[in-house]
Amino acid sequence: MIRKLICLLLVVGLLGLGITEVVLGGEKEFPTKPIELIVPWGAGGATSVGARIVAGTLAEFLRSPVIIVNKTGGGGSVATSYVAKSKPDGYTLLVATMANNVIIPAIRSVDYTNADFELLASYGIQPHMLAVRSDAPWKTLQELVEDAKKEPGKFKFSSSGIGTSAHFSMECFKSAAGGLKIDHVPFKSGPEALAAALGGHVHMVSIGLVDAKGSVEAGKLRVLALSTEKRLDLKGFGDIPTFGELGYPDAKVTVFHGVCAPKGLPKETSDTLKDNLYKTIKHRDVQRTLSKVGFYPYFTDAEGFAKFVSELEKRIQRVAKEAGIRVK
Amino acid sequence: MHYYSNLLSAFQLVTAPTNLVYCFVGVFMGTLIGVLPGIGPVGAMAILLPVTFGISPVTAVIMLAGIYYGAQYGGSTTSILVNIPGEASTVVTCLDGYQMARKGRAGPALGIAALGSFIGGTFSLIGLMFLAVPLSEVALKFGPPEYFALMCLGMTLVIYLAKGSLIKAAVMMVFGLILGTVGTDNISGKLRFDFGIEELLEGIHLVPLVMGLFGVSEVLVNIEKALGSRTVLKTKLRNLFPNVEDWKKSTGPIIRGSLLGFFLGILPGGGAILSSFVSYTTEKRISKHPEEFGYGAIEGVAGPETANNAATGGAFIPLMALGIPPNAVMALLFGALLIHGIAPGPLFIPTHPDIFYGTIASMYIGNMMLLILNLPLIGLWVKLLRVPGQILFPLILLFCLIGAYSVNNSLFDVMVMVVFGTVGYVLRKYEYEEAPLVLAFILGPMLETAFRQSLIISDGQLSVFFTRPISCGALVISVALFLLSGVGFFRRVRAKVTQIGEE
Repeated sequence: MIRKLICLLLVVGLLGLGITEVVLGGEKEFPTKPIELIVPWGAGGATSVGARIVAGTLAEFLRSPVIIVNKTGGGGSVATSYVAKSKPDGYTLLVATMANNVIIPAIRSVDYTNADFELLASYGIQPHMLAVRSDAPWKTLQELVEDAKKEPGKFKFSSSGIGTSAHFSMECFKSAAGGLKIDHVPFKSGPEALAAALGGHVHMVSIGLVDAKGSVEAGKLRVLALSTEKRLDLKGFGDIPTFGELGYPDAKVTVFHGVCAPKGLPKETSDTLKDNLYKTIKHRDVQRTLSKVGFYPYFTDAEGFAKFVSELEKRIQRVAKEAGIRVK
Repeated sequence: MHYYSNLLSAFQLVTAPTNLVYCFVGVFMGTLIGVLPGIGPVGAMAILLPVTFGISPVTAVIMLAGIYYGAQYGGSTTSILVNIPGEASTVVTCLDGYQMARKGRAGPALGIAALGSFIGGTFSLIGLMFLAVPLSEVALKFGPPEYFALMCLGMTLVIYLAKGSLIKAAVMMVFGLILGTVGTDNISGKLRFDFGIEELLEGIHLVPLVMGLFGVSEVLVNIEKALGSRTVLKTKLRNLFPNVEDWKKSTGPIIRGSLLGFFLGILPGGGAILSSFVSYTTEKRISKHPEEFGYGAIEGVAGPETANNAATGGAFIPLMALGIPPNAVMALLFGALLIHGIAPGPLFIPTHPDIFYGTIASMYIGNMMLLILNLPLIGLWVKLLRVPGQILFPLILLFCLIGAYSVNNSLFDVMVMVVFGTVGYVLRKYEYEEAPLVLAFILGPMLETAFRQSLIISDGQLSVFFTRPISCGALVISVALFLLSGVGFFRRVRAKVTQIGEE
């Protein structure tokens, strides 16, 4: 009898504890536990390094740990799909990039689209460019366009692979220039694509800033145009025009990196996250470290982020269809 | 002359206590992750990359480079002791190293691996110091057609990997080629043999495949052999270090391994892995007693272990002289330099001689540290073999499971390892060898990609392979090698047939 009573008391006590926990938990403000920021690629890559920089300062502002989780597979789709299906409670965030949020849904059948996410803020871009070897006959983009129109299919460009940001930057330009015929030679990484161009095995290369910087500074590579919105404020890059300036505004491709969450965050959670993300990204140390690891600081708030991504998304989908880029 | 003054000041820089400490931390971590199966230098360096944010660029590179070449030292240990390649580049070390250990010669195998690594490492450093700039220009001459020809040459080596039946080796090679096609096609973006599994989009990962084929299947075979109490090795352990005879046999392989490793290391894409295979097959090809290979020939350990370490020095060349990282490890070093505001490129060596020569000087010292660290450890490792099987084998399996998971935090990789462990077990039962499979698995996709890239560049003209001197030369050599081995095979078959006929 006594034993039964003790049991009953214990059960009631435990239930009581549980209830208080729930009540208290409800009152506590977000975040009450560590936040996971999922990186859809391995620990060594630029995306992961950039995310780690943001996560470090974000954690200080939120006064809560922000853990980087590298989840690989499917070229980024495994982790992206996982976050799309996660509970929208603000504890599972994703690094949103042009590759996993825009390109993959445009060229492959995956079980998510960019509409499944709430874009919170962008923190940087990786400027891409069209470059040739310094002894190439073309001094300007216009000369290249003329030659490419004269001899369609003769010229080849290298990139870091099929369906990469570098590939799409070039395809957007080809489409904007009225359907140029320049064949694609895909490689497996930016450096390999660069080596092919420097060695004279292809005529030009579509490449990101990080990979190209050293060769441009040394005068081995001539950049014909940048795919960014504005010129770059960097040594050796100040004189290089953008595609937009040269009359191809549709060749602008903003290879963005930002943070997103599964759609349906509670308003307060979303606001807390945004406020602290904005503070983080605008922080001078964060911007400085980001630019050191190869990002060009590019802050947009949630609204601006969603706007430029949806515009980019439409263009990428159209170009993917035109150029017949489809992975299946 | 400026080499020496630069190097001298670099040695002063490196012998500063902080740099020595970071160098030691690097090589020690490297040895550790080399010994642990699965997690490789890329993972370890990525984890430690944030640590380098706050230290000077030279110190950062010294530590990270230490992890890289330290892992090459450590990787051979598990290959030799328990037939599990600690790194992909020590796969071939399993073939003869493990057989040596089974014959009670684990000590000399480990010893020659450590000493060979030291010699190869030091040699490649000298090469790096004097030849970095001219050789980087040569590396650029390698376009897709040259790679294709080089891969063809690599494929003909598969024949020499076989210790038993040539037909069976060919079967395994085809199996490896097929496995290599799984995943997204690099050229068209089409998915092949993915069966709707998203994890297969990137293809089958090399590390779990190798760990399954060699490690897990080895454990299974051993468990089957003796379920009762049994030490791994019944043979008495003889001397711990290589004897005079061993040295005589190993000198040639070490010299050739140094050269092969250094030059193949320069080329992007798995230089260390490839050079170890090439070294092994070369040694077997030119050996006077090729029949001993696969049964504990010390040349089969000395050559590849020297080569994979020599490749680490070679791999620095494209990074430091051109700013083109030839593999994932170098890409991480590239990242580490970027963090400090240095973009490696053609101007890197002239503008940052302190970092270039500092790294070289640290590698001289690091290689010495590794030798001092590894030689006394041999005794300890060998004692590990006395651990009874019922304790050792579950532990090995556990480490394999953790290792396979830790590379990508992927449960799928663990399943890949288990599946290939079972496949490897069945293959062993029927005396099919794993090495040709692994080589074909590595080379196949590179061969195909290079072939198709070449054809895009040449607008479909096959002549592109013959009008370029490097690719033409390599193709001619591969055809010659292929025919030579074909003749040998034909002779053996004919001899057998006549023999049977006479009986």
